[in-house]
Amino acid sequence: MNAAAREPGSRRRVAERRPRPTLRVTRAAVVPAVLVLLALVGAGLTALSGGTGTATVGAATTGALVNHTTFACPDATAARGTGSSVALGLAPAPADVRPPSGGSVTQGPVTSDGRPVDVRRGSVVDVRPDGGPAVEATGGAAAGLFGFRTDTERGRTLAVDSCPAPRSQWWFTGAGAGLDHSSTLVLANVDPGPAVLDLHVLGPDGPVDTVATDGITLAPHSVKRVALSEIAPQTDELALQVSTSRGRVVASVDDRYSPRPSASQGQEWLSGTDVPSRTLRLAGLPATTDGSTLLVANPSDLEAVVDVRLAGKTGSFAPTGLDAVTVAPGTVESVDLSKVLPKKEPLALRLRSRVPVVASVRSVAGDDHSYATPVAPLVGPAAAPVVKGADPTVQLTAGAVAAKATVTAYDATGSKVDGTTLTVKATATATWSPKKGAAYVVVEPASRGNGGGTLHGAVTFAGGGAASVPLTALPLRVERPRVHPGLR
Amino acid sequence: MTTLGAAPDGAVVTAVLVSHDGARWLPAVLDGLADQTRPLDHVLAVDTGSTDESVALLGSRLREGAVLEAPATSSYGDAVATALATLPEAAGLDEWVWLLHDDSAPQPDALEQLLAVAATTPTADILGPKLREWPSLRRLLEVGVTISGTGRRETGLERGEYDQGQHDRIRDVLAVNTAGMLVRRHVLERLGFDRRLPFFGNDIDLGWRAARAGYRTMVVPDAVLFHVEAAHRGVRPHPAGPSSHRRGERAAALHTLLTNGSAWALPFMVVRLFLGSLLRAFGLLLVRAPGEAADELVALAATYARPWRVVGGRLWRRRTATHAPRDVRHLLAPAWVPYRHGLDFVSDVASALVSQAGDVSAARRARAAATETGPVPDEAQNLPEDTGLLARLVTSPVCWLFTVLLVLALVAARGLYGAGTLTGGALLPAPASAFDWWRLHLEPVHALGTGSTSPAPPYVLPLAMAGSVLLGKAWLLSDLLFLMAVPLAAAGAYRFLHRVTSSLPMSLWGAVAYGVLPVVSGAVQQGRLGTVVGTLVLPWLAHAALFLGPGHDQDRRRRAAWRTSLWLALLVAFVPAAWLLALVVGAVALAVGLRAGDRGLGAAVATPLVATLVLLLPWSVATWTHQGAASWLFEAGLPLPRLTHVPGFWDTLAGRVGDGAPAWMTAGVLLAALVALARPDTRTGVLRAWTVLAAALLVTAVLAIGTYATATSPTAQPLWLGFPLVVAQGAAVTAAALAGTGIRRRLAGANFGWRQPVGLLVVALAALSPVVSALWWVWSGSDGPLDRGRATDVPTYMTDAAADDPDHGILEIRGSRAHGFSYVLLRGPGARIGDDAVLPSSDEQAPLTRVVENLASAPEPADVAALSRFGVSYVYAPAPADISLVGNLDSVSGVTTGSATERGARAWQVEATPTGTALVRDGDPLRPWLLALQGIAVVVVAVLAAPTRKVVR
Repeated sequence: MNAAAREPGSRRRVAERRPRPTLRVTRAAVVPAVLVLLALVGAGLTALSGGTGTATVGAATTGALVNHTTFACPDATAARGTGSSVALGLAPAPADVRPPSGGSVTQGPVTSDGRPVDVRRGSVVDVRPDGGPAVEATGGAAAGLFGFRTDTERGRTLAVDSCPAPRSQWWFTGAGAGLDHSSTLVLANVDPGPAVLDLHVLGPDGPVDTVATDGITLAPHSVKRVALSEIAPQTDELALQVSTSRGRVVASVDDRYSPRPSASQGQEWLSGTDVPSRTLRLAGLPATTDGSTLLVANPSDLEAVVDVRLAGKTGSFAPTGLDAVTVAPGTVESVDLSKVLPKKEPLALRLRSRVPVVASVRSVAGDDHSYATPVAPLVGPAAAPVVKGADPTVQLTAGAVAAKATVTAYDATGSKVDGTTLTVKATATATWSPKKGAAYVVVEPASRGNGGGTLHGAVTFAGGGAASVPLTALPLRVERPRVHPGLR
Repeated sequence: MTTLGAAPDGAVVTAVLVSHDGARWLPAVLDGLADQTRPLDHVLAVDTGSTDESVALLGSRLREGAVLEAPATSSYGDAVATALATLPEAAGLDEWVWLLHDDSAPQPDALEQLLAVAATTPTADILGPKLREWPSLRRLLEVGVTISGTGRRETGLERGEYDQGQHDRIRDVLAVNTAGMLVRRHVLERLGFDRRLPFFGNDIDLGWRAARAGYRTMVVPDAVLFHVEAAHRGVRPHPAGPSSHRRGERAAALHTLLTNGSAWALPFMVVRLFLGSLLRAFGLLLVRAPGEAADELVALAATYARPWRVVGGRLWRRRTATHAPRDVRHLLAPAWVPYRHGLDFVSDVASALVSQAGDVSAARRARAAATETGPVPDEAQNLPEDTGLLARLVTSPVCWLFTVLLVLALVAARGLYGAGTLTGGALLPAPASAFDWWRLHLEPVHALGTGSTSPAPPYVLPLAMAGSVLLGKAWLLSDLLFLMAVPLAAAGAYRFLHRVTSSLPMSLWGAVAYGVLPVVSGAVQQGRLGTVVGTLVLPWLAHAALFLGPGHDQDRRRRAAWRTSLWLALLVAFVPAAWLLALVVGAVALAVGLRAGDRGLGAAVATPLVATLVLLLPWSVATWTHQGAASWLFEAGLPLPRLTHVPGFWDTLAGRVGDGAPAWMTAGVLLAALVALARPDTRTGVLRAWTVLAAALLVTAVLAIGTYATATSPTAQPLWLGFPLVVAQGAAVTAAALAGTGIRRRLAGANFGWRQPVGLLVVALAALSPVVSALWWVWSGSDGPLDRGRATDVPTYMTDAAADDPDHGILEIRGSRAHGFSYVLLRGPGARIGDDAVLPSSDEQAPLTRVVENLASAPEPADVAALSRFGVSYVYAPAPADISLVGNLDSVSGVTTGSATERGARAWQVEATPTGTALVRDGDPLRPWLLALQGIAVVVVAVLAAPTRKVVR
């Protein structure tokens, strides 16, 4: 075009050459077109690679079998007329676990060396309730060891609590310090170093001003009991936080409650949860109750609007007659569920909130009461005792997908008494009760690959009082978190 | 010996002429002697082993017996002494010796004038003439001479100054040249020449000693001597080679200063001369005079390696000294003289650089000169010649643009002011001082983690250099790079575009369009040091590479190749993947160039690519074994798996990798680059830009495939593609700017039709694009992970302990049980820019990783014992500390709780004294050699890249 324009000549000559310039334009356009095409191809290929390149982050791996287990059973002198027992058991090893033989279990007071306890694999032995709360197991006996404390009073009240491992955070919802409701916090430090802890108490009207609850020091190997009436008197519904700034403790709450004024107090051990959460699953509601109360504590600075759903026999549903529960910041809210919960149906609750909360459900059965507390998903086999004179019910609730679990009942020597495979429909709750003669039950959720979703569960006891224990996984394998060197 | 009879003035004058291969000049010298209006009483000639016909010449012109011969090795002093020895006993005080060189011809009245002053000033003991250029020119060489504090021979004259009588004043001086020196015989015999100064500088030394001995030296400008300065100029072949006269002069100057200076100032002088010589050598290297630099250093070494010569010289001088050193100080050069010379030198070099690079400014000056010629009105003549810097700045659109950009940058950085250091995203905090970078670069073993022998990443050296220029303030460098990224990038782009388009509006437009890239791409917000520096360096690299092509002379192309090497090395240091891109672009350019028959292009393209590898030496070789091949793909800064994702189609075209501006913002530039292909007259340049664009996008596509992991961060992750996309954007800006040159005229002249409105629309969109981007930048400010805060969250007492003893390390464990833990073993205040790339590989740290795993799951006392073997004194878990980890560490014996300043963080102290037996302590023995090679390579390339300087003497 240029060349043509520069050429001196008439319009005619240009016109004569018209076909050639167009040809040259076409040829000259090849290189730009190819370059543009290459650029587009480059961008396109880049975009295509977009899906392939994502950083891969590994999950935690389970490592070797645990060879050291420490826990403490709540150490409280039995009230008059109460019979207390502490049992230690060593659950039969799951199929894929081969714990070495040998090892030792000691039970003793925290202040001195314990006495050895002979616990065979599969058996449950009673130990002296006053023998001391600290239980330490090493070697082959460490994997699968569990312990329970049971308190009964003339067939009227029943309290069961598992012996938890020490940790640094505890939350209890449902404690009280009034005329009809009194609770005692039982703390134990089983570690060789001192523990320093703070207590925070939330009441219906907000955080309770407590005195001398910051910086409580527990010497190594020591036990401390704190009556809530001493730190937060005249409050019926309390939520209690135990947080250590140093060391770890084992904490339990011995809860005594009169369902009706002037009635005699029933007893229950209140299980603690570790941290407030946005999603809570409460398990351990007895099928038959004389009334239930939902207690929600909101430790945050924001108002919590808690959505409650029930997991019944066939699936989850919203309770009729219960709107979302609003909990002001720093308060405990109690909601009567008596009219809300369907009768004679095994139930679990799922609570959801925009801000982290803690909660529990207190159910009254006769003169006694029990608590349904937050439960964590079962990540391995869990064990629960079978109390003589009380009918145990294993309650399992599935998550968003259906799940399976093998439930086996053993007698005190480790012989299998009964067993089944429980299939739980998605978001539903299934129950199972073992035959007579069992000493404990082991619940083993099916592995993920084997058609298993997440399961939460508890064991409730009825007859001669009411009680419930959440199911938590036994110490079997050391879960090794993913650790990598890195700056951020 | 001939006595010509006592002259009327009563003085006896003996001329002593020392010759050495001076047959070229001897006839004139002898003529000059013969023509003296005041005849000489005696003439003696001493020849020091001439190989030419000097002896014969002298013999033919002088009386028999007046020509003495001395061995070739004898010094000037020896020769004079030889002559003096043949003279009869001194008759009286008025007996003079007139020293002459074989290359110095006196004017006929020279001796007469000298003696006249001697007669009127009886206190004068040494008299010297005015030296002018041989054979009879008016250029002044010396009118008396002195020495400066740095050992420079000071004549007090401008170079090449004409003799217009402006220095004609009889005055006292420190010394006069031995060429033409009239000295009382007894003074000369008493003082003598220093045998340690065989050829050079002995005149200053003699004068200085004479002054100390209470004699008076004067210069007599009426006496004129023409001097060749043959030895000084290297005209006379020196026995020890051409460069030895520089060495000799410098060594003589050092010796003179050290032996004659006052005793108390000697230590200061020793240090000053040492450092000054090093500085001079460095400066000489910078101006591509490596030979002179070497002479400087050799002279320094020769003088300093033989301190006994100085001591001996000082003792010898004490023999004759009667006056205090301060009595002669007024004769020495003022103290400020060296600094003025330094300033002159720097401005010389600067002007050389400017005139080298300033094709544009040369053209401007030429234009200005063209307009200034012709008849000038009277009023104009009275105006000052230059309009002044301020006036030029105020009227310059360039100045206005950059002022605006600077202000915008200050506004956009509003969220990033305050205390603390810039950190976040991929950017680590800057170290406390630039010397930390030097240390990181030079140390063979880095006390980080379990000890690392990794080579320092290549960008540490440029950072250390730049940080040193900023007086060691490393934080300032980090701030400048990130907060001033836009004006800095725009400055480079303006320079480049003004060179290729020579259109002011288009280069200003392109400067802004390119300048906003660091923020539009999201590189600044994510703290991507590599991309930001890469964006700043790229235009300069492109500018240097412009001169690689044909159409420039050979010297220019060669220097351009070395300069390109420097820029490419700087770029690759920050963005190693740029080497790959350079390889592709270079290959394409080579293919095109070879088709066009350009044979010099091969070397011009290969030189930068190869030289870069040498310039980045310890790293370029050693990183393969330490960090793995993938370290060539990761740019400077932390690899951030969380923030790094491969951009989509439109984001790739828009050059938006991070969370930068919306993709449509740069669409105008891209559209303009596309339409630019349609303009025929600029198509060659536009096609070149598009070639780079296509190459950059193809390289991007290749780099986007797959995930990569280095030895230190084994998590496989996609690459950050910031830099190649910036290159693509830069190419698009260049294409648009090229085609946009003179677009207004073109559009106005176009025929009515569909082209005009479409063209107008594209121009409008393209013009708006950078403006909108800049507005977005200022509006969004510092919106991203980059933030200013505390450089470390580790309590100070820990970092202090670790800084005191690196074995008291701090094990910092982050993360949670659910999401995994990451840890770093710190040996100081925390990880700083550059530290991330020298962390020990995860394989090397595997034993420590196992210990941390145990701590996080079920710790035993053995794990705590292992900690002390790894040199860990403290364990620190920043907020929010994981509950299970806290519980574990609180319950295991062997550690006690320490105080953590931050809420939610936890700290422990390991009770056992750290032994550090499991740490790596031995470095690679090859490393110092590689570092030395790199240092030499940097100097050599810098010298080769520097503009050629014409050496004028």
